[in-house]
Amino acid sequence: MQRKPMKLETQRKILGYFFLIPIVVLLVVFMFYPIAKSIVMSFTNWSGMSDDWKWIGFNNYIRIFTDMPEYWRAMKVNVIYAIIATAVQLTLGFIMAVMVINMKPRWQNFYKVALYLPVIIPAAAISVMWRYIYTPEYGLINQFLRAIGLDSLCRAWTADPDTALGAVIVTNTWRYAGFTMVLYYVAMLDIPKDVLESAQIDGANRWQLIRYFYLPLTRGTTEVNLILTITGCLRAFDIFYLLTAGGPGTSTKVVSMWIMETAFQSYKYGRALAMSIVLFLIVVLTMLLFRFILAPREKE
Amino acid sequence: MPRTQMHTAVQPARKRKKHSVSYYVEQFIFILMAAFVLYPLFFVLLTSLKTNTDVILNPFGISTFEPMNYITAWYTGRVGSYLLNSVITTLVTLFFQMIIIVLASYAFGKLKPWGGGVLFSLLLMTMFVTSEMTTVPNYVTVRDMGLMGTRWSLIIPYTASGLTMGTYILTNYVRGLPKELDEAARIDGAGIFKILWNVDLPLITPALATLVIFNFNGVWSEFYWALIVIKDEALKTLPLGLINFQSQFTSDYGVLTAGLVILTVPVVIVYLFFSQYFIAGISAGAVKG
Amino acid sequence: MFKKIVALCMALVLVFAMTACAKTEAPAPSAPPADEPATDAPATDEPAADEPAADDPAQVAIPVPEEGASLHFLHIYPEHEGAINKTLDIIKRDNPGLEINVSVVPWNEATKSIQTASASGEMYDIFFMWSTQVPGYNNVGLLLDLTPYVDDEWKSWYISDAALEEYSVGDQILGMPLRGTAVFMIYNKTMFDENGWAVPTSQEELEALCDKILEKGIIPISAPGKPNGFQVESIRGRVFDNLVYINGLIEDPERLTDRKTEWNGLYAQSGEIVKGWYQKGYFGANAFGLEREEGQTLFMTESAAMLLCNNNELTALRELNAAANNFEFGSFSFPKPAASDRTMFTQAGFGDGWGAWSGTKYPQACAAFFRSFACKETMEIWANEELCIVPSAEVEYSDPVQGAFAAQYADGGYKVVPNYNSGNKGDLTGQAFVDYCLSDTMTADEFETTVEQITARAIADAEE
Repeated sequence: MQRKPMKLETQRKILGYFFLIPIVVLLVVFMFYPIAKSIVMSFTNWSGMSDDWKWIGFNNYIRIFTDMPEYWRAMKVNVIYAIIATAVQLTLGFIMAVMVINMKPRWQNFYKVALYLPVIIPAAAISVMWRYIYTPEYGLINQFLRAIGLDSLCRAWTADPDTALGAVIVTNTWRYAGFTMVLYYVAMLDIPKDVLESAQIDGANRWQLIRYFYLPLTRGTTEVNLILTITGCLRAFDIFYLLTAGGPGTSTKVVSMWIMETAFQSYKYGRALAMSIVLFLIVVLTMLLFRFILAPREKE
Repeated sequence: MPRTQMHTAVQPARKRKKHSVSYYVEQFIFILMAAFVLYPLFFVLLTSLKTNTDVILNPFGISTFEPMNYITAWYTGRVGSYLLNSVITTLVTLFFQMIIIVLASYAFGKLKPWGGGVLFSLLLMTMFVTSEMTTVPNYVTVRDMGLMGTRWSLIIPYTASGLTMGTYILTNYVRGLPKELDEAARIDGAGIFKILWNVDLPLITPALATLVIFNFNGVWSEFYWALIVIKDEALKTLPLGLINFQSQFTSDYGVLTAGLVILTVPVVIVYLFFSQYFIAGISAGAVKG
Repeated sequence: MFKKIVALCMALVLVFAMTACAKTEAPAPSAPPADEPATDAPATDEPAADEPAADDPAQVAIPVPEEGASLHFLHIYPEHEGAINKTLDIIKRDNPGLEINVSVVPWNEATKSIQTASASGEMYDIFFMWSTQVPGYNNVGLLLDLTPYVDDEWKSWYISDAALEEYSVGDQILGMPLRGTAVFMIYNKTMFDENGWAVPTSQEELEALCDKILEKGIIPISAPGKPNGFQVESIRGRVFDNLVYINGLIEDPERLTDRKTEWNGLYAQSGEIVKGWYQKGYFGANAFGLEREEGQTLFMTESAAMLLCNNNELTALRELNAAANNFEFGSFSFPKPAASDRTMFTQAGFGDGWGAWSGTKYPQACAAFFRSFACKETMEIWANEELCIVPSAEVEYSDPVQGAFAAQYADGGYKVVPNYNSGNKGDLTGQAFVDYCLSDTMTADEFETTVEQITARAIADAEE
């Protein structure tokens, strides 16, 4: 009887490899191969269009690290955005999930949909909406401010260097908070109802429930949300491009915009690839860092 | 598969008659939040029912009513022909994605082959590629595989692109599942596949539903890759129809937003349908029983 | 229940998948990839060479498409579909048997589409390009040399030599102009008449007029400044051109090729003047936050008396006006300083155009395509149905405002056309101007230095 469990374990592990074949094949062909090709081409001066390019070694990379202050300024924009957005989105998403899960079923249904809708709306629609909210002359915000007499607070929200980044962050958070909420909500569904009830009977109030139950039991989801949000912020593009096109000056220009310009306006695809790879590595390192910090402690 | 009750409000049984002030405050905050979230969407809906000149001259008022926008959007955006293509492409892609993701998550989460952790981290990295890195190589790959001009030029790359995030989320979820059920089934003599099918799949339904929702939107509204690989009118997907509403110097915002609403409605329907699978974990009840 | 759903889905999907497989389309229309796109005019490869050697341009015969020619054509004008279709009809009528496959992409995806197509060896035969892209595309050998096909008759169809020069590098014609883009002032004629205001004929008169308009609480000029300074930067550009002319630098070859990196205070002066106007309120307080549509709205609701707009906005403006207050409008181009003897209309160019791929299998067909496109019949469609300003000499414009715009093109010239790939330099210098206008501490000279540095860097980058 001792041999059987052992063989089963090994059997399972081998089966695991088989289960992984489809994903590995697809990712090797469509992800790893392009990554490898991109790395190779980043050492050249390929324009992206013709077949004649030359090997230039590390030139592109040296340039990025020594002569491209705009790249790092943009990185700063991304980092600020990542920090603020992650903090706000995760907190907001978590709180919303806690509140929604405690509602009556009818309300739950409504809020589940309402709060998630912004995630589904195409970016083009989002830019139409928020442009009209932010525009200085006829925009909703300024009209509202004028109506209540706070004219002095009126600004050109997406054109004023002081507020442009904030405006884009608000829009992005508005959009993605629902995403984090849904993930938290699904995780919270698994928290056994009776455990929570008995805690309440014992006199636990809402905050204690959160601290001792909701928070710890969704730790895995927190990790997922954290990583997805941060890495998403580092690679942000859509909303920044549509709302401010890089903003007044370069105050909202994100790294992805520089990469795009280098590739499609300067026709320096090799360099754009190098910039992409640097971004890629930074994002990967960030992810590994967070996974390490939040190393899952198995909680049964 | 029994459907357990929704995770209902956890309130002590007695206190139902009088709502405290904090209750009303909470409700108010929530309504505010919902308004904040919904107003911009409402604005888009409103815009889609206005004439373009009205949108530009009077963005927040309601002065014209032009449901014709939807008809124009339908014809100019060639929704009639592109819709079917989007449906087919998305359904097939999702089908493949779900299978591959479930298998992979199960492998990473439960079967845990040797080196699985490293492989997992490696695969996660692919979430961070930029489109500049992948477009040209994938284009050449698809062409060399002879898939150009077929639906597969969309389906296969789409499948590949949705795998990583889905695997990440689902593996995380699978790892959190209680092991007791598995072991109980095994003791009952069930083979691996039986366990997978009968016990585990139902358990991960909520997470799977989440993935379907996330990935559906990703595939349905994908634009850039489709723009590059699909040249044949007969294969074009819905987002490509949106090109016809925008130009460098003018755009018809009324028709454009109508087109966007048409594009988004199916995604909302899918969300509504699949969110009913966000039900309390079967595991919660099953373990105790 | 769940299993039933899965089974149903699987069945559905299998059915669809089989449909998908069954629909294997004919091979993609583009020709098999040419690995080494030729960089010179491949006229020598063609078997049925109808024309004599290229060294005798005066006797170049009308290009005739090759046997079985099929062209892949990329454009960015979904809004002008009518004109495109009519144009294609004309081309096919002139060249029976010529097949044309059309692709449309949004204007901001054009370069990306071209780049991907070219990188994978499946390039379009004829594609949209801006005149500023000619040097860059030429450097990578993308463009077909059309010089051997353009005869004198064809050249005579254009309103000026500058039209083709904009698309040439040296003596090689590498592209074809389609339509022009220039900024003009449109003014509310009804409002002007009511107030007894006259159209300004000099910059000083414009300033005085703006002061008068400001007194009435109306914004003098609606000039949307987003993004990158947009029309406010255009105004600075017009002021600058006049300064350049007065200082005798208008024909400076460095300036004409956009390589000038030393302005000795001239650039600073233009910035200073326009910043002064901004601070006086000539453009409204929110100029840099306005996008094109909001700028139009300001003008249409008569909150602004004049609008600096692009001639291609005319159709939209007419529609808006009809829906709003329906006043009369007139136009004038940005006035010269009183001290100058000539209005500079330097940006009278034809920025939107076409190129042909150097690796095309059907160069004659491409040339024939362009020839039919350039003739009066086709150009008239674009001019009168789509209200574009076309480079054709003989077209008569039905819309009077459009006609007035177009007439000034004949006076144009001295346009700055970079002979290197300037990339995003225009965006960067525009941004610098915005920074300068909004800053309390930056001096005009610092602004000029910044711009000079940006230019120098762009040149160095392009030459690497």
